[in-house]
Amino acid sequence: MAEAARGRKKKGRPDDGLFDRELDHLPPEARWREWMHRVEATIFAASEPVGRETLSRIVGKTCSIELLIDDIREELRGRPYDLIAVAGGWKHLTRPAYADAIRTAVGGSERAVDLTQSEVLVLMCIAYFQPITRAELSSFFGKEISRDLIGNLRGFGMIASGPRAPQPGAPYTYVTTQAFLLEFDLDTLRDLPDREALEDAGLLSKEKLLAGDIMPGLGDAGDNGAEAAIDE
Amino acid sequence: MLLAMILRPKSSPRHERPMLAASAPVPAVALPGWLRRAVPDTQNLAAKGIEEIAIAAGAAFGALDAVVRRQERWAGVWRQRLALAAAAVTTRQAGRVEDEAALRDALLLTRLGDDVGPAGRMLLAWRQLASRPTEELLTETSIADVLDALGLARDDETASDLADELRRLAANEGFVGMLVGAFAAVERRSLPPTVGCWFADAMLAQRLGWTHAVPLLGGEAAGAMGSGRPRRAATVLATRGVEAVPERAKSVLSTQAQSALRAVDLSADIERRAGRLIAVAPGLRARGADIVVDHLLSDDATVASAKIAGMSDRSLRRLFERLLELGAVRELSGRPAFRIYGI
Repeated sequence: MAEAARGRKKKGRPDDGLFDRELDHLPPEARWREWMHRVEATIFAASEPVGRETLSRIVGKTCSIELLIDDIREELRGRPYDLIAVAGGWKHLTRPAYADAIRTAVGGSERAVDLTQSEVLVLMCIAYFQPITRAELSSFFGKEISRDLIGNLRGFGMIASGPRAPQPGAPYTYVTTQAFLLEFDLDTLRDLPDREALEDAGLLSKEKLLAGDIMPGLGDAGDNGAEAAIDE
Repeated sequence: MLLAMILRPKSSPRHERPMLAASAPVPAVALPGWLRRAVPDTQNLAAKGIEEIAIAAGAAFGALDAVVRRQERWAGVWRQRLALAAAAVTTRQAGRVEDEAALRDALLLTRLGDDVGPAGRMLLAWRQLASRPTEELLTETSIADVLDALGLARDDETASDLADELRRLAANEGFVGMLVGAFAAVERRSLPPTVGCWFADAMLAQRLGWTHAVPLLGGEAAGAMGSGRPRRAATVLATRGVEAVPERAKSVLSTQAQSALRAVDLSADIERRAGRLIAVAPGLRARGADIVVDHLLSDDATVASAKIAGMSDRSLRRLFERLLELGAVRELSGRPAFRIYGI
């Protein structure tokens, strides 16, 4: 806890303008080392990938973050974890070789995001057709997609509110988040599987999907009881 | 005040008001017929030599430069419209289905703090080109933002490499070498040509000393993209191998010339609409009307819920309705609700 608190303090301090980014008093090598430590500590303390802008706040103006990261990774070479560029930032991740060991030790409970099959289906639908409203999703699947399900996905941080649809009630549309990309190990939305195939088949048009009956029915999605009302 | 009295009386919304001569003293840049004929379209591109194309492109840039240098009040809406057109092409190339109207919706109907979605981000990328000062466009952060917004893998190393390379190109290369080099740089990193279009537009603006870039190439690749199967068809600027520099120079220059003419044509249209708005502006009695008019002249479109000049939703709506009545703005969405206004 103490470490975590210290990390937070470190991240918070640059705002007051007193934080010494340049470290001019140090010889170049020591300065570089200190910058490496700062960057690694920040990434270590963060629960999500840390982007370049954030990191550039704690190192000198002239400092190349790529080179810093390269040096840190070099030092981590023998360690079972590494600094990986994911979802627009860097994060400490364990090496794939230890996945089994970790799974055996912690079991399934270690997964923060435990999606049901229907949640995954809805999430994938949102990923391919975003921005999309709950009413449209329901119409896709031919069955009500409950607010609970959407709320769960939102609770996991997989989706966020997008633009409001210009329909009566101005329902929110939903879009996927960085956390979604991270969870499914995608770098960008273009990496969604079979995107091109779907596109060539003309299936990436919401209108077409809504008109036709292309998607398979959803086995056990949501409650049927929920009314077809629109958010807000 | 006199003007106000002239404009006050109600009349049918479609009634064309005579433009006041005083409001548009400078005539629009007229494009000579020979220039239109000289700029090749994609069909006769192969038949023309690079020199011919270069002359046409130079003349087209000159015409465009004249429009930019007038620094009219409506330059903002002009650039943003071009950005919107470019974004519509980009979304199509990326295999998305959003058209211009949907992109506008994504941007304007997103509440502060919400996400505009992948297509909306593509529009933001092009708006960034049209809005940020030219000198800030090709910095590392700006490039990283664009790659991110275009839905490409965000990789800071690529961004800083690209920034370095583009800076080198701009410093060492001539006009054509710079533009062709930008596309080559993009291609070598296997990024889509859209990114090259963005860079080329920014570099053109820097070379010509404009304060803001004009989105040109992004809106143009459509011609050669065909309609049905965007991914399969080759774009004008498509890859023909790095060695085919003359061919590439030809296609880049001719595309740029075409898009420059298109931009000049659009400026004439925008000028006419802006002239009407500027003419009725003195007759508007709403407080903050000036700011709203400025807003309409500097951005593609706006909604009544926008926070402009501290006006309430309702008074802004009333002002827009009044402008609509006067024929000074258009409703762009065609919807009875969630209306979007622009000149």
